[in-house]
Amino acid sequence: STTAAPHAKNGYATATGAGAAAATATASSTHAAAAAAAAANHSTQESGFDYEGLIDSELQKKRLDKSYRYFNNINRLAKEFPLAHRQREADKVTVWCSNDYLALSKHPEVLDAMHKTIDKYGCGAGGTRNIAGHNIPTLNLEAELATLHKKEGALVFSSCYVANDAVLSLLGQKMKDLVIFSDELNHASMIVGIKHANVKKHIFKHNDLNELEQLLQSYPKSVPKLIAFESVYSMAGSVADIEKICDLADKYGALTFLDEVHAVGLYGPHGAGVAEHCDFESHRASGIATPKTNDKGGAKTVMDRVDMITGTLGKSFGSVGGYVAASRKLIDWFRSFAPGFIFTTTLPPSVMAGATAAIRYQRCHIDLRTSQQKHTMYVKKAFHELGIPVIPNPSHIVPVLIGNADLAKQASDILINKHQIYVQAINFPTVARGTERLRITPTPGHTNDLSDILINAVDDVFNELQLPRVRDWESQGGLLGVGESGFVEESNLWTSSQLSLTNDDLNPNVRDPIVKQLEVSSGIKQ
Amino acid sequence: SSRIGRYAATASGKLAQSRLSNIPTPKALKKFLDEYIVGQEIGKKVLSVAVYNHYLRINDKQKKGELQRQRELMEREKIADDRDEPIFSGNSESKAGWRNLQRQFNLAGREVDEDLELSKSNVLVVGPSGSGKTLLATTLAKILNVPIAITDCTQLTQAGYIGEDVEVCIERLLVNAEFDVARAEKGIIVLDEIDKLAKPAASIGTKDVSGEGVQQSLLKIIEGHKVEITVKRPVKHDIDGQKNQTTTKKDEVFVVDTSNILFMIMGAFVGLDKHIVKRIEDMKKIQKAGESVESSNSKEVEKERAKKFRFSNTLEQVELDNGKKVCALDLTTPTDLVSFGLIPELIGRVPIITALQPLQRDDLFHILKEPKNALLDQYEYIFKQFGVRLCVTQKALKKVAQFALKEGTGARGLRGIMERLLLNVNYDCPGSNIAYVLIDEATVDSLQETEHSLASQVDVKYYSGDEKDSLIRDVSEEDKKLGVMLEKELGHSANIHTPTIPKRSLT
Repeated sequence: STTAAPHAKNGYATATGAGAAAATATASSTHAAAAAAAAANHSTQESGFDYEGLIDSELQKKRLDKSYRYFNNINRLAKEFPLAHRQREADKVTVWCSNDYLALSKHPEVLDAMHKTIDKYGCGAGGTRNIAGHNIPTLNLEAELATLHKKEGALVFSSCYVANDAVLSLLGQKMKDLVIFSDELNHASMIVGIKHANVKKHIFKHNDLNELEQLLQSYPKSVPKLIAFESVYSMAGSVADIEKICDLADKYGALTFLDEVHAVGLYGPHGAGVAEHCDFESHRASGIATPKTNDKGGAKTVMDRVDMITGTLGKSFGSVGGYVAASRKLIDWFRSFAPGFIFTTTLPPSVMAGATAAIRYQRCHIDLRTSQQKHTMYVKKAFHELGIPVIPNPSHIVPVLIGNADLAKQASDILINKHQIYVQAINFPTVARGTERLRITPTPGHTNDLSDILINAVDDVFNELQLPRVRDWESQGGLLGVGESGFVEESNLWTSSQLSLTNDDLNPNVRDPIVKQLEVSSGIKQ
Repeated sequence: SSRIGRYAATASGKLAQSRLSNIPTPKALKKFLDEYIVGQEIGKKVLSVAVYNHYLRINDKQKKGELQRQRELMEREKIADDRDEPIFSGNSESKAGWRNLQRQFNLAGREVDEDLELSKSNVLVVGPSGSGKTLLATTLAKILNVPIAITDCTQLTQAGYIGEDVEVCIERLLVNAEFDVARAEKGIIVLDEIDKLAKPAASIGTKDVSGEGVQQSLLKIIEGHKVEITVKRPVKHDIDGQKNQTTTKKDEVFVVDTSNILFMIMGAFVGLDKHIVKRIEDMKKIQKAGESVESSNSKEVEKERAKKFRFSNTLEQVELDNGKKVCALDLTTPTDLVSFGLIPELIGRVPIITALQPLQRDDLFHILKEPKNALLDQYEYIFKQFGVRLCVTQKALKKVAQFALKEGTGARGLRGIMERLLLNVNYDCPGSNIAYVLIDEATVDSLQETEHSLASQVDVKYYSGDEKDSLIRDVSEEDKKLGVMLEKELGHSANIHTPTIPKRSLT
């Protein structure tokens, strides 16, 4: 928008300039006075562009196709998780769709860290990292993130949307020959980043590694390539086969870019995401240290093999912000070149201290992850028995398929108004038109008795609105794996033996580890 | 059609069908009416169903149009999405979702029967003065959140004659809808006092431009037509050379389609009940005539009846064959209305006829205190403004209802009696040290001066701020419930020596 504005102004200036020129030209003719008056009239009577009309019609379209969005007033109560109140404090609802997956946004240790930091260092960061300087909370957080993903460095951004956009666009801008291979269901931030990269790109079918390989094959190994994908796809809950993608990347000489936004905190023994989960046992045994071998006896773990991992501080880690974890060189490069990093104010110190506390707390509390998984399984099982269509997936997301924007909104409205349950309807453009859904996300706080209330309420809504159940989808061949004949369901990422682990099964070195600040956070001295 | 049946069971079919209308159900409508209007069970039920069906019909029409527009829009959007950077489309989920949507559109489209156009059902409400006819209409408009315009038919004349043209009712609706034609087209138009348009029984030879003529002019509007109306509408607020605010009013032409407007036609139809009684008794007579011929004293009966009719302002009742007595107006038929003087063409366009009952003593009693906006609440509120707690006992309210019934003006009569009753109180209290006022049965009784006139001076009991014990005692004598309530509200100070409260503490 910064480039568009002056452009528009120039356009306006030249147009009026031309008008004035025309007026002087006619003024020299015999009918000078009349013509000048006409020209003057003409210039004042001509109506400007109908900006409001354009905006109105766009908004009207949004309403017509039922993708117009209403935000709900949901005030999540720190002391009464998972309850929130609406406008009136007495009007309480149970929140069932928040991405505060581990309820860490209200955890006393996190809040304590934030209180202390805010009392000591105040609210804002005071500017960009370069001008205002950074601070101990920043250095600690980046060190903590690098430790979590067992990478050499990490860099914090305002959000993971910005991180994805900044990293991907920088890669394209610096490597003009780069070819990007992108999963078709990648998040909008990655798609935008790839667009900004402005290089050749290929979009492969969701999780279709055969197609990916075919596309990779068509380029010589020397051509720079990047495979951009996610671990847990947030709206359907599907999960990528990270190890196989790394194999392909090695085989064809590609970099890997993995978005773990919806996986950090939830997978792996220490909550580093699905990449850590791939070598669960090795990581569990070595704790905070990098394992000597992976689960298959090889040298490198999957997490090690992924070149860039992006994640968020705003979901499982309970505050706000995003980051990328990678090698020292890459981090130094992003730090030095990415405009999305350079030209923006650093996160407030208290936010970063809170995120650090959250990461440290969740690392040694595997029970958060296991109980979250168990609650998810409980809800999924009950829905299965009632024939309520859940888009099948091996992760912690419970996407209830509705398939119509209007009805999804109505279902959400009935849930909140009649049953005091908040589940927002997910509509276009977050998901494709015709695949609208209710996305339910259990947390460790959503115990089975709360789940029972939810399950009855959803069943009631399906009855009241006569929404299609699994058998209805079956009779027309299914949609997104619901009621599709021959659809092979993946088994859950967390195995039953993993789910039986307790905090004591973790390596003791995960409790209050000393994490050293990283040189790359400030700049490497020569 | 067998293919439709097969598809209808599928998910897309269900999605296409399942569109919960957001019109309140007849039950919900009636429940809402109950909160504001006492009694009139049948009337409320008939109106709830009629209004529900009317808006179902509008919704149906609207849905068909919207579906078509929605489909066209989505198709355009999809093409645009596919052409531009396919951020949100082009992937396999989009394709699957699009197939699902297409199916829904096809199925929903198939259900729409192009030829089946639901016809409109306007309503005629017959009811005595003060039985709540207009209140019903305005309450319905409030629930449905639609504009409403109430027009008295007495002021209307045929086009070209001095007086308002019939289009004025649409103009008013448009103004109430803030010139939003689409909103106005879903509104309610009440034509009150329609009975005053009745044509005289015998033609007087001249054109009846304010009676029958108006009825004729109303026909097209009621039936549903595009009506062109010119309204002066403020368009521009400007500041002229002298920095004065000017408002430009512009004649604007609006075209309003009345085919979705609900017309509620109302009237007291004074005398219609007698006509009905006569019709029914005549019918009975004919039946009886076959059995026995002994109606020699029929002249006498006729005289008796005429006498009775002339002096009563209560409505006639009819005894049915099963011995039940019903209000004569309940038996209104279109022919009765024609013989009253409405033209058959008009009645034909108003298929739903319902009658409201004259209010009984119990109804009047309930109206005083129960509905939202109850008269008693209003007075209590007014009195509170100048620091007086108004206490009215149950027995007193019953008496008030009794008086109102005698007046024969329905619920409006209550207001008149309450005004008389409270005139002196309202005069005395503001600025005095009176904190409590008690109206009991004796007070209301004192209103009755002679058999046919009401007194202007009544005996009201006043109490100052420190006399609440005696107030509670007096109240409890007549109305235990109110006594208990007051005790809770004011607290009991018996046995406690209270220092004298400064006078006028409440003003």
